[in-house]
Amino acid sequence: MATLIAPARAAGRNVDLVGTIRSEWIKFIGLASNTAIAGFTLLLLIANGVAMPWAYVFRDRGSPQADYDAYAEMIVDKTGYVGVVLAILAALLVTNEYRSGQIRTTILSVPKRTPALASKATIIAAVSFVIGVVSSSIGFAIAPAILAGGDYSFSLETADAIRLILGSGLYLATMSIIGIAIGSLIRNVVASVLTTIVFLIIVPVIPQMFSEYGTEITRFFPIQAGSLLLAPHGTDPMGPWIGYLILLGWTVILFTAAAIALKRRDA
Amino acid sequence: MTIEVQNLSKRYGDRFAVRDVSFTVEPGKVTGFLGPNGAGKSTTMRSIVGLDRATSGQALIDGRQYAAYRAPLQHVGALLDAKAAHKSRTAWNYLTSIAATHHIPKSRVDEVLEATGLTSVAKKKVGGFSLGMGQRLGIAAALLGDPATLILDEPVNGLDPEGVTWVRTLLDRLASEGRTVFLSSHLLSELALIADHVIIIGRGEIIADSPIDALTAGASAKVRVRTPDTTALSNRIATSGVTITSSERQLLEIDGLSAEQIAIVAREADILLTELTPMHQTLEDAYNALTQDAVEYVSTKR
Repeated sequence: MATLIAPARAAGRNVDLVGTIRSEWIKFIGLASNTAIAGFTLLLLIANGVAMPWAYVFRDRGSPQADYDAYAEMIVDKTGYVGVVLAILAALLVTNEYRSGQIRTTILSVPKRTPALASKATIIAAVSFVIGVVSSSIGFAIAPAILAGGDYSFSLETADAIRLILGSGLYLATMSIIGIAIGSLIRNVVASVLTTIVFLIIVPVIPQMFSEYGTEITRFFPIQAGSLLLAPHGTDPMGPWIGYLILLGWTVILFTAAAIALKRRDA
Repeated sequence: MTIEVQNLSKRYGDRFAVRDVSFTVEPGKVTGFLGPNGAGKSTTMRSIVGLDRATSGQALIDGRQYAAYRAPLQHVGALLDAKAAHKSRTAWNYLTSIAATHHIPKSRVDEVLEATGLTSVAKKKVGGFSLGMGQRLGIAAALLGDPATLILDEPVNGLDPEGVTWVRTLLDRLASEGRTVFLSSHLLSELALIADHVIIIGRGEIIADSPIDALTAGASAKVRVRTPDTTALSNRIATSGVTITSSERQLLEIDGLSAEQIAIVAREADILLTELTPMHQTLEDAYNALTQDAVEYVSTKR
């Protein structure tokens, strides 16, 4: 019996990022709800990539607002708001640990704490990146065939193809990290989901309800600025990459705040 | 490894959960941490492993803070909450996710599952576990890194008698291997069976810190004496260090002399004794007396 307690081989070595990232991956795939939400998001985005050119072909050409040329960005034009779904999933990854008590196990294993948070962010960002790249790639592969059925087409330069495919991945990955930060700051399951929705969707539109200057403020919120990366040229003068950098700025600020809070608070 | 708690205080708002607590837990024996619910046991244990930030003071494990260890699970195994895994997670998933952080091989996960008797339910969801199985899973997690120190918060809580015996055997063996075993309980009867040494905490302050045998031995034991000649006997034995009380006629309770000493005095003075009963103080009495003092001390201060 004594051999059962003392290990047969040396049990492990120092904690490092490889270990903590593997640990977070095992935790992620260990819950069916995580893989289900991720899979659902992927299907949602693929469905949009198919539905948009389809809708274009069968649109009512009699109405004036339907009179526009097919454009590549339509394939990814719902990605902006779908980012909220992944942000909520990310927030749940953190808050479920607080609800279940798993957070204590996590911090006992990784007492420096921030590597665990960074690893969790890495996992959900990687998953989100793959969802964005795969769904947009499928969309761009299928869309020309659907459009051709109605004798339509869009032109897509290589630079834009790279921007939209990689951009989908980058945008969703960054949004999911915002979710990790909000979850870690709020710690309560319901409150973090509500905060994510209010902060990402409701707060940005409040300024523009009051004045035209408000619209200027709305441009700089995460979704509005970040989804410029996936929008047609000329949507906003700041352009796709400045827009994405603003989203990245929000993410860095929120994640830093989350890391500091995690380090300081009792678990 | 030695756990040293030095002047540890933890305040939540304006209330101290523990106040200026100091003690040392030595390797090679089982040390019990005893106190009523809310006395500060969990807070102290959580502070030792860095889950709670101490307001002042510190806790060191072999001279270093828990968070300073680069592979903490190889030095310290802790069970702080029987429900520490998501309900939909399997035991195997829970343990392998912990093991991954320290690059602990899967074979070790099998070993601790085997050692805690959970092999057959390894692929079952934790949500379906009884409290006792949850405790076993927590102990399995604590053993993963083969640590020299074990810190277990209420590990016996929720276990059936067979489970209690199992924990006792396990902890005895771990201690005999030279490990430091520190476990808490709010039930003295549990600790009396398991622990070699006991630290008692009440209202956030340490009340006693002694080997479990000394707890009763050190406490004063009275002798009950019945005699028709109480005055003569009282005069004979009344010296400094001896207290005599009487609750009824012909009955004395004598503190400070053994039954044998009293019998000798009585024979020499030709006093008839009709009863001579050493009143063995139980561990429970000692504990109650100690915690009672703590309560009075706190209430008079306010």
